[in-house]
Amino acid sequence: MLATFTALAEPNRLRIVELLRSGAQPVGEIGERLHLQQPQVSKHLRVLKDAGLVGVEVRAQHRFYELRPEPLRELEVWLERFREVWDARLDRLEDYAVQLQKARARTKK
Amino acid sequence: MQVEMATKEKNRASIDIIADTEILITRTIGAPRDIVFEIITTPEHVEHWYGCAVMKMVHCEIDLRVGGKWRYVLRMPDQTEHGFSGEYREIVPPERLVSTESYEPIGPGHEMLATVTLEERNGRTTFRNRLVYKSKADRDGHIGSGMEAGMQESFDRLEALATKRGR
Repeated sequence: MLATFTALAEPNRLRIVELLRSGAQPVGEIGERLHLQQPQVSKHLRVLKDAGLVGVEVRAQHRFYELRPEPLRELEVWLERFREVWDARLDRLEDYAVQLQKARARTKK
Repeated sequence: MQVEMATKEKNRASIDIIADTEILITRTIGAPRDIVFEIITTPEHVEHWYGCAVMKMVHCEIDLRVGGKWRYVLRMPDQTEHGFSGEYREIVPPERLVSTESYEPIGPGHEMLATVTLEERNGRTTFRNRLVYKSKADRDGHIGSGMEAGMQESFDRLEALATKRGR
């Protein structure tokens, strides 16, 4: 999880991940699309690969980099649990607020 | 009738990661904001909704004035007690509440700043809680605590199921 965060914390790496959402790309294409030098792209891709976010596929002697969804899914699950805890708390707040509102409406009558 | 219908829709909170040290929790609540503001700032009301079967609220104190302190204590299923405390920074009923929050077991230096805003429309309230952390690690730790709490809830549910079956 920490590796996923560290990998995504760098703005250019996040841009690469965003770009790869539309499909696998070779290094040259990534550099061109994002206006980055090839060594820089390679360096970022290595970090993304180490974090398991990106995989390589060889097609007609070209190395295509593609997104691997597992770490992102893990991140989603992590965030989802936090959301559930808040939702449960706010569900209770809401139920209580509605009850209180009804009780007060009754006393006013 | 309309309010009844509206409250029956299932609301879902959304969590947005705004920055490395900042997240935003947004949700609609089917009640007017003056009531929502009151029940998040009055101990006898907070006690009714803040805790749950898994995390029982055993202590709640609120000194609602700028610079005033608040402190909540939750008891976990393993009987350990976890204190949360902080200080009020801005109080604008019924629309805005700014306070600091520390999770006591991790010690000082990790407090976050929580800005709650309440917006009302047709008797419903949009609740927003913007959390600003001291560091990215603090943010990740806080989100991770949701994982723990969520897991604890799931375990609890499992346990309840197991007990039922055992009978």
